Amino acid sequence: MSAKKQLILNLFEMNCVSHITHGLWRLEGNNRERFNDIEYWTQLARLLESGGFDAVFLADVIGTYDVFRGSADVSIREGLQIPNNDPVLVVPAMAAVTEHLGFGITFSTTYEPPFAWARRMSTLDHLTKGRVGWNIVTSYLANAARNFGLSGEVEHDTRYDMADEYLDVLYKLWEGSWDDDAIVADRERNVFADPARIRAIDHDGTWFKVEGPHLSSPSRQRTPVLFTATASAAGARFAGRHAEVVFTGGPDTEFLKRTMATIRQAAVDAGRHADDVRFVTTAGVIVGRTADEAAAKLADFQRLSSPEGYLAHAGLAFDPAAFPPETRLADLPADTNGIGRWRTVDPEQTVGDFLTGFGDLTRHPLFAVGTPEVVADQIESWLDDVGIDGINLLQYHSYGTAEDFIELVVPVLRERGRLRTAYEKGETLRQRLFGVGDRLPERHHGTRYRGGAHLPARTG
Amino acid sequence: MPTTTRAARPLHFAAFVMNTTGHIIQGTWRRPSARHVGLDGLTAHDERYAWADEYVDVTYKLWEGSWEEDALVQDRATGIHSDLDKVHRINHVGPRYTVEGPHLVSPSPQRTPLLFQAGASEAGRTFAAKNAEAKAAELDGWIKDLVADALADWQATGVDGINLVNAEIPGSYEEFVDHVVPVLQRRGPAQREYSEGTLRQKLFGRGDRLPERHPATRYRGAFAPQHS
Repeated sequence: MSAKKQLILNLFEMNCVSHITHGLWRLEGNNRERFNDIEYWTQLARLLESGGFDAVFLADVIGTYDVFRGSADVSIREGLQIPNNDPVLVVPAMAAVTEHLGFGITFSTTYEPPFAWARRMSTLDHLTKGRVGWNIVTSYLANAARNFGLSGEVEHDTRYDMADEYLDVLYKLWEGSWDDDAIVADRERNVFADPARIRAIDHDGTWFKVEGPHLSSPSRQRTPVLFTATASAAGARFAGRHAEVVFTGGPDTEFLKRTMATIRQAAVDAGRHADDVRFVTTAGVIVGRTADEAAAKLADFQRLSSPEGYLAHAGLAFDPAAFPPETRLADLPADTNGIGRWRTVDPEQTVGDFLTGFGDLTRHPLFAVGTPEVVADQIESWLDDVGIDGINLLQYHSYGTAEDFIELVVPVLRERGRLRTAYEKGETLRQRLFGVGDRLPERHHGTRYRGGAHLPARTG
Repeated sequence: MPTTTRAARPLHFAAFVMNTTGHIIQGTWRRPSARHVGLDGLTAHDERYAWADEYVDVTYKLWEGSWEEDALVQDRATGIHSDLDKVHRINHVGPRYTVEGPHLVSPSPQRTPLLFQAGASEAGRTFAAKNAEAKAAELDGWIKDLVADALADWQATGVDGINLVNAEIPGSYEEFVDHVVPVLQRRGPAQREYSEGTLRQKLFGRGDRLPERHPATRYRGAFAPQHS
């Protein structure tokens, strides 16, 4: 008889004002615009650790959303991921005031070469004593490409090819370049590290050429916990090979189930076990002491939600509001086919109906509103019926959403055996999520370089 | 606003670790057209400074030009977070870098961080004269007696500050703080308390931002509204 599945609980964050619940920064008491202050992050980190959260998951983009209506106007006006600060730099501040909270950091493999990133993550893994994860993305904004010297986006499948080689360089640096016993620290003999146990990687591939050795010594986890955010076919192959936690989404729970099955199969195809991959998805939870209180909160949020913000975020190549509401989507001009990044579209749907979905907070596939018991029932159903392993909790209000969850939902989940009641001292993020050690399991592709195996031999 | 009266030319010292947090302008080793490909060898020294010239130019455009002073509105009633007319693309196209912008970060207290530069070569000196606000001079060797005299001598030769090298952590810093700083404070060149404000204000006492005559400031207000 298997134990109840426990929830992986992350807070979904971004170093900006309007991350993914557009318009809500205006809520009374919302702290979103304090994101430039280090105290915003230290206060948040302490709060999350007091409530037993596994990690704070930091999204990122490196460009603006400037497709909707042909400009970044809506994004800039509403604070939609611009200004948007670097997610990496708030992590040490949060780590300094916590002991257990994990950090999932989004970083793209498309624009900055791997060597510096390898060092930055190793440094963070040292500083946090093994509490970091990396959310691997390949970037999708055209403006990001134009910020990094390209005329347009690198084609989707090519980005995944690049990402695959990028990861290979990182595994060589993280897993292969330094042996576990390379640090000697012998004061008598003035030997800090043993050169025989540290090696160059001499990577020479299609996209990258990196000599090494890695500049950081092995950290607790060596390779940070690997997250990827994906739902595409190329993305699924990539996730099957590399990801330990997949951050996925989709229009409905059936789509989610299919994506999870595809990625589990891809993991098996890559020589791993189907349950080597955990699935985390964004979830919206609005909880009140009574159903009425929860409903009042929802109404408050809906009132300030910004459909325009969601349209701009979706990267719609056209403005549906420019057409009569009764127009069928199928009758829109041909150049409006790119109807949005995350939406599947029914061509028979009218523009008016299509538009009502934007900004409606209840339309999210994993959304729960009500009393603590009702919300906990829903979360249990997500775990058991949909089959996810955890959630990235959407924030409507900072810090209100997390405070409500901690005060009202966490105790119920704990009582039902769905959430740990305490942290283990000194545990790494990987150990907490998988329970089988601090390092990548042997059957993961990244371990093939351990001890210098599969690296080019140097003579002399 | 400065709240402490200080010697006309105060001596500044910083722990050497500051190099990782300060912004040090140096040559860089990445190639523009093949950013993902490693280089086979070190690029020629002067060439690296040419790259650095363009590199800092891009940062100046982002830091000083992309966002106007009052671009951040944060008005909950109107829902306007930033003023469209005051956030600009930079559209930089140069031999090494192409950067569209806008900058993703709203103006910070200093906008451009304090600019340090280390280098004694011809190209490095030219670069520093143009860009740097402080040049790094290192204090070699161990701090012993008379170190305050030595510091005074160095100051007399025109050095404004030192990056203190440690022999032992934290012992070297503790000794300096316990034994040298009080002497310097008595003689004048070391501050007795921190003055208010940003690092630039502390070091120069003339405000948080770069002075007008620094080349970076030419980009202030230089870019057109991007949505027009």
